[in-house]
Amino acid sequence: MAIETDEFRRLIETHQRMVFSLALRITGEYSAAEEVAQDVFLELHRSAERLASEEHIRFWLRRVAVHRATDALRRRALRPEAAAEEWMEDRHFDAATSSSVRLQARLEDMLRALPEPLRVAVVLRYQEEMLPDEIARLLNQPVATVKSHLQRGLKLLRRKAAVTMKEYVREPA
Amino acid sequence: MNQPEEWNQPEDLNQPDESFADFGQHADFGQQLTQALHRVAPPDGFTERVMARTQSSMPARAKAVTMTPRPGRWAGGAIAATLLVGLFAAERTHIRRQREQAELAQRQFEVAIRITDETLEQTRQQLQRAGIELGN
Repeated sequence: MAIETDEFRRLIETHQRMVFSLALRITGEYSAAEEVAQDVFLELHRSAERLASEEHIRFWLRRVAVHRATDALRRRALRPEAAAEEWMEDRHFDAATSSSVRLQARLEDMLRALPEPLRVAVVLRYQEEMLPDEIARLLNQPVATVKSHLQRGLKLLRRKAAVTMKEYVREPA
Repeated sequence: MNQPEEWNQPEDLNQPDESFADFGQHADFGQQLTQALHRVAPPDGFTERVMARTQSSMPARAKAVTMTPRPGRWAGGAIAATLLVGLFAAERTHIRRQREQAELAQRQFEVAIRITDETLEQTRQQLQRAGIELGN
């Protein structure tokens, strides 16, 4: 067996929010995100003995989660009817729903509309609060490419927010 | 820059939303994104479902290992068998050559004996013609 059961359970409980959130924001679909997250932890179970430290495990989990979620997203893109069904799921907010929850839901929708490479960069930057050079190392991409993806992603989000949220979103100084 | 096609979808996102009139007014857009994109928990029972899948996948892997010989062991057996067959064939060839050499030596010995006998007989006849009688 690659890893002790108790140790594996601890790793799941420590990292499940990170892995699931990455999968959710990249695939844009709840059920796909859980499937991806489970697959990532099963892969960890098989590979844990090769991972030296907690930091190494976190890096590995982020990388594998991004790759698996991207794969799932591409498979879904080959089935347009599935994507269309996702879009048909309207969000219903009642009056009691707080403004921050509604704002978050809107941002999730806007994020889901971003092209895949921009979405991945934005999620890693603003969900995981990683620096561009850390993202570049994780994705095995040049730092300039990551920065470009972040700039384009933010620009698109800002433009979309300006339309969606009525008020003009302030441009950076 | 060309806008991606999906950027125009869905239609409802293009409608102004009165609830977010102050979005982008109070803080940096990146900070607002960080606050909005906080990590979320997976559905309840996630850990147990992963553990269950781990447990269910282990016997299958063990079974696969027992049913399928490891390539290294299989290759080692094949190499050993090939070596044995090769050694056996080489040994058989060696024995056959030794036997052939023995038969050849036997024939050469017989020829030599016959030549010697004939020579001795001729010599004896020549001596006899000369009136010399050898003792038997």
